[in-house]
Amino acid sequence: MPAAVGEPVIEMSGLSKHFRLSSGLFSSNKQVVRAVDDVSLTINRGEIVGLVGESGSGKTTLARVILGLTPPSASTVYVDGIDVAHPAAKDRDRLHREVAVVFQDPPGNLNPRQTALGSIARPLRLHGASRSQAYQRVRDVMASIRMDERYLQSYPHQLSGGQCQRIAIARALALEPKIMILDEPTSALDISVQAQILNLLLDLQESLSLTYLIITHDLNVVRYVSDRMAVMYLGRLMEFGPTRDVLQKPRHPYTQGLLAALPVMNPKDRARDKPVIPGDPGSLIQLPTGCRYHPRCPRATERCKSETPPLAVIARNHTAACIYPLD
Amino acid sequence: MEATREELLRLDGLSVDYPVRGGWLSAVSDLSVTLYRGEIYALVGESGCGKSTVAYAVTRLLPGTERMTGGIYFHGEDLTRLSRARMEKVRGRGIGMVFQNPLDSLNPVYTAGRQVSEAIELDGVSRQDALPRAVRLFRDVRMPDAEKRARSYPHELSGGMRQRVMIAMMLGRDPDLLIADEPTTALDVSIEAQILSILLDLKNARGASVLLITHNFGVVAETADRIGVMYAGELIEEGSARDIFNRPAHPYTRLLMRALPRASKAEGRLETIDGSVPSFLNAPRGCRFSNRCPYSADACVASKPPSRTLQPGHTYRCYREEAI
Repeated sequence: MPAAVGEPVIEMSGLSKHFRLSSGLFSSNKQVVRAVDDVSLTINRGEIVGLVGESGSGKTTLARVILGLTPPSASTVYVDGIDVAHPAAKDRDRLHREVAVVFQDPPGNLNPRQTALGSIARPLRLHGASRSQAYQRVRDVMASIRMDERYLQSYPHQLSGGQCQRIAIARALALEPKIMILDEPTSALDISVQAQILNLLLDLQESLSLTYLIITHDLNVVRYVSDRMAVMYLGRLMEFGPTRDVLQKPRHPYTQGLLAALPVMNPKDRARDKPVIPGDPGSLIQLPTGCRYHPRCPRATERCKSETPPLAVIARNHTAACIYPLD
Repeated sequence: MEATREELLRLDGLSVDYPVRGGWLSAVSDLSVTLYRGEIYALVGESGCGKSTVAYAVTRLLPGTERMTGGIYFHGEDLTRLSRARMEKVRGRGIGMVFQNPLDSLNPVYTAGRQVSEAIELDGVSRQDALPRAVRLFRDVRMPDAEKRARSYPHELSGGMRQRVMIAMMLGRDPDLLIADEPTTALDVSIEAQILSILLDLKNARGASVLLITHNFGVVAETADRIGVMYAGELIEEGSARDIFNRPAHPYTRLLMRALPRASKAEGRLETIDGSVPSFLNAPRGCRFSNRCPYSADACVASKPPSRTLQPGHTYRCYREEAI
């Protein structure tokens, strides 16, 4: 039974994904990469959730777990009540139809030897559509992304980055998904093309009542499109809440630092002596003890070095994982 | 203020064409830009607008198959007429460069400190003196654990640290002009902010002059004194950073400014520009933006718009200001 608008559609509680590194034949200390660690997150039907984080934050690994591309190490993800790691045989087809994905590098994610028509029709054919049914659906999808049908005969190398991304979106839409996972959907695009794709994604989301999880490092994109936003750092969820609340009143010092680091969008807003987050994002192999952000945090105390703060409710619908959250 | 500005770099009608099957591709066309001492001048534009070609032309690092016309005057000397050996001396000592991907520019088998000290030795400093100076430079670029990092190899450093090594290496030669081509594009936001604050420090404390080349309007808004907007190989507008952001005159600049996601979707959809940046095998006679411009008229296709001055220091090339 599909969830109604506003009902939870993606749910995870205490989700972890660890990778084991082999550290040599005779070495006994097995190193573990804690790419996603104890993440609890609920996404509701019909909303757009933005997931932001720097490199190594685990945001793409989380997406791969949600997509069932890699099994979780602890706990699991439920999409529409289906355990994505162990779907029952009867649910597998529904899961694959309901959840679609669009990746960052548009030309790299299309088969270079297939026309746009072939790329979009392939998932339909794999799910049992006849050739003519598939073609009809491809034409409908092209209309919904407002792209001329003449591009159906083009190969990826004949298309621009923005056109390739439209084709990738069309392919994702082919099976009429309910949920789209968008991993850096506009990061490789120029500003004018990014605007086209963001507008298109918003139009599709409204007209088809889709649920989006948008993964990006670009806070401007998150501010523009998302209803709620989650901030990850070194595998852990640091803050989650309504986008406007998080941006206007960040509760976690890391979120505050990220916002301060964001370049201004007008030279008149330049600040002298901007606060800068010191140091580099750490390594997932040698994680800091306690709160993972404490080596870079201006508010850190001894407690932060030993205690790992859980995600706690700070304000209405707003959670943060910090011992000393900001007011 | 105006009177004391000292010209450092002047591009005079620079054009660069690349040979392609069937003719010449116009990458940069009739570009004239002056960079003054102590300023950060940003050349901005979308991919394919020719901004990186300008960086390679100024440093004379183009492939050699290109056709280049116009002048590149550095300290009043035309770099296009210099011999290879003379140009070697200008690169590094006169003009330092920082590129997008530092790993491509670093030697994987030398330590970071050695690469910087080697650059310093080029100016006649002894090996003994060069290494401590390299460590000092690492501190200048706020390298964490400067001594330790001087002994690290490039693969042991993060992206932000590698970019710091590149900046330290460049600073070691104390160049008059720094060319930074997408210096923060591969970096995380927190590291980008650190690198930008180093660039601003160089300008404010050392009076460094920077030609910044980027597609990132946030980076420009944060650092640039003046901006040149490029489209399809041409400079279409130039002005102070504040004028370009707050009083853009050319339709392309105006549309770009409204395509930037600054607010939330509740405030409405973003402005878009139909199509994408074209490349020209046979460059058109008229304005290169005319086929995407919502204000395009017959005149725009027939001939190139002349440069017009909105106010001193703010110029643009467009026929259609009364229609906008």
